[in-house]
Amino acid sequence: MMRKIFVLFTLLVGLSPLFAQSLPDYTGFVNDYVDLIDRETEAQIESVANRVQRLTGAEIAVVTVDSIEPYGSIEEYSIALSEKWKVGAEDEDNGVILLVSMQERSVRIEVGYGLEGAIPDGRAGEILDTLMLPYFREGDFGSGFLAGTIEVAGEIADEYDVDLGDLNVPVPTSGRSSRSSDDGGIPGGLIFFLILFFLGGGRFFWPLMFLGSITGRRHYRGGFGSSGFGGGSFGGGSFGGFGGGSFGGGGASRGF
Amino acid sequence: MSGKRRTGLIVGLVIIIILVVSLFSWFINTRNELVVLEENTNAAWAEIDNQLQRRSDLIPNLVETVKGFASQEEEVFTNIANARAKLAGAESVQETAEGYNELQGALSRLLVVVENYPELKSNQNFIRLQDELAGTENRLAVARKRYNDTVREFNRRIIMFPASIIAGSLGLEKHDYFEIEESARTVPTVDFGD
Repeated sequence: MMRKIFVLFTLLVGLSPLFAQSLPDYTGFVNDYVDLIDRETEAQIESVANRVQRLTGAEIAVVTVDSIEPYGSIEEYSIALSEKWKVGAEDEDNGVILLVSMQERSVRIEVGYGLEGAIPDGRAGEILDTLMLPYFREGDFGSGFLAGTIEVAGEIADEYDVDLGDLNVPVPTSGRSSRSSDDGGIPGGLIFFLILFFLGGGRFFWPLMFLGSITGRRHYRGGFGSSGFGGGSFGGGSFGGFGGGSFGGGGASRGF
Repeated sequence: MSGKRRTGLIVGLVIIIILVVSLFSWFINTRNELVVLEENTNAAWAEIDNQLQRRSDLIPNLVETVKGFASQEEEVFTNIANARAKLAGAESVQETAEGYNELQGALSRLLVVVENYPELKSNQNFIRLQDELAGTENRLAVARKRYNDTVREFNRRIIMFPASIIAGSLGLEKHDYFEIEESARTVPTVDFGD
């Protein structure tokens, strides 16, 4: 009996490197393996991540996968992925991974050691609840990830006391302005974004861009107009790989 | 003494010197390696300790928030207090694991109770605390895996001959693995329906 347990244990232990082989390799800041994010939004997310990296050295990775198998939970998958990809600068451990797994309908924000002060677990949960989940529940993963990335970028910018400047997020197409009257979310959304705007010291006027999108329940796929996004003014420059940052398991998860 | 014999002696001497130096070198290297591996386990344990402490610090806050909505559920609060005390008094890896399991049990019972209080469940403060708690549990899981990895490597190294001799002379013994029950992660679910 003990022998059996011993063998099983050794087997499980020996399997973990095998598990790691099922983890994908990264291709850039956005790694949309399940094709949830449309091209324009992907470019926008990359642009934000690019700017964050250039101005602070911190690295944000967005990942969509079909399933977290063979890992048992999105947390286990996420930390294993962080060990493989090593997002963030090595000496600062300032990486963040935003991950969604479709089969399990789970989303997680994984925060590197160096950013645990800027994005504590409660804050990560809040970002998920208030900015990402509303979009995810409508099937609009692109907007959800974009909103999450921008928010995370904001926290990083605060941490490094840096002005990310005009993130040049385009205005949502105004054609879609139908709002369900029983929504009830309109005043709440408006107040929320006014608060966000003023808390940001007016640095970010971009939250107002989201005003229309979150106050109504509408589909957003490709809803963002593409003004000023010639995909290159920030250097759609070549992605040079992640910097070797470590993670400790901080962050938050949600089902949707 | 004939020239040939003298050469032979010198060669012999040189060989012996090389052997002694090699042995000495191996001895020092292995000794240092074992010390480093042990230090790795200590550092990894420190991280576990760190997270346990952090979790312990979170709990009174969590309990107070729950009490604000469900003060009559005295039994769960007592269980948690007892489990915390036991964990605080733990002195070995084993005792810590046991204490952890008990506290974990008490916490999950608390969360079952919380299910009966929807106002509490949707309270922002409570949600944030739950996230923090889930975060420390996750960090503990990560710290535990890393600790056990260092222990595995260390234990492996000290039982293999001839390193085992040095290990013995240094008084190094196998370290315990930190084995705790894998409980379901306590992830808060936010209900958007009104």
